[in-house]
Amino acid sequence: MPEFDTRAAATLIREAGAIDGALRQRMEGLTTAIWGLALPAMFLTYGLIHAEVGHEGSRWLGLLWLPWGLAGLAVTTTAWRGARLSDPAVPPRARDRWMQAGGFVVAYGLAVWLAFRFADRVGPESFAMLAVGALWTILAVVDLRRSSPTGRWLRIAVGVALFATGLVMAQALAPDSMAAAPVGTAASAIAPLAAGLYQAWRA
Amino acid sequence: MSLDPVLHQEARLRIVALLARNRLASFGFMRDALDLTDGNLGAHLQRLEQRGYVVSRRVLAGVSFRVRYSLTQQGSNAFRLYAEEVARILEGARG
Repeated sequence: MPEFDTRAAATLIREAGAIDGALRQRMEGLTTAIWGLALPAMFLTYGLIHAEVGHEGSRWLGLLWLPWGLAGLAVTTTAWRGARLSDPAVPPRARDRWMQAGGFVVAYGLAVWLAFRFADRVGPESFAMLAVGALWTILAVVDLRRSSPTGRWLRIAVGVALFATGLVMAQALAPDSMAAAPVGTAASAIAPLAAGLYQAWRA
Repeated sequence: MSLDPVLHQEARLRIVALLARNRLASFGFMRDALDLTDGNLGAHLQRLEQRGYVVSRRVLAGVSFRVRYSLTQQGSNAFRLYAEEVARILEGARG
């Protein structure tokens, strides 16, 4: 029997993912696709409120995406647990988990602060698109979940696409434009759904 | 720090890596996925259970209860420390 040395152990740990790599790829893709449903829900809500009450209190409207974000997080976390997969593959330290939770709290707090400062200037839909795009890109770049290379690059591409859409919306649309909600709904559905389904089908 | 002797064995490390990625696994799934014999897998699982790294329990699967294996918190910590130690040793070897 060949000797089991440190290098062999490192190779084994690295390659262990190949056993269920396809399942993880599909779960990553479906996770992105789930966000392709949660994000348009935010903008549909904006459209409904916009039609009912206009943009009165648009600072508060700038926060409307937060509960949808938390709901998406709850659904995707449940999906990973339902597939009996740990995420990431090598369990993180308790300290890292707390840092991750702290990072979310800080990011959400920052989003609330920015919403109160800027949402009424660019319009709540554009602000929400910029916030979601920025948060998505940062999370994909930092990659605490140690995603597959394909999944990571797709998530970065989706984040950049959402942020770029937010910039275009902020520049091209008036803060109270009725077109902002449909544009946001379409863009936030197409980018994550296309990327997520592509990854899930390709696995 | 030296490598954990319980984990520094190919079959046991593959079992723990599989359980770290899949929260629960049946005996048959592990045997087929890792290409081990019943006796070999059973012996390694017994060693891991004795060490407190793996626990077996009966869970409802369909209409009957089936035995499933999972990593304990102690096993999870040991695997992470082992992976870190292996990476550290290889980093040191590279200079």
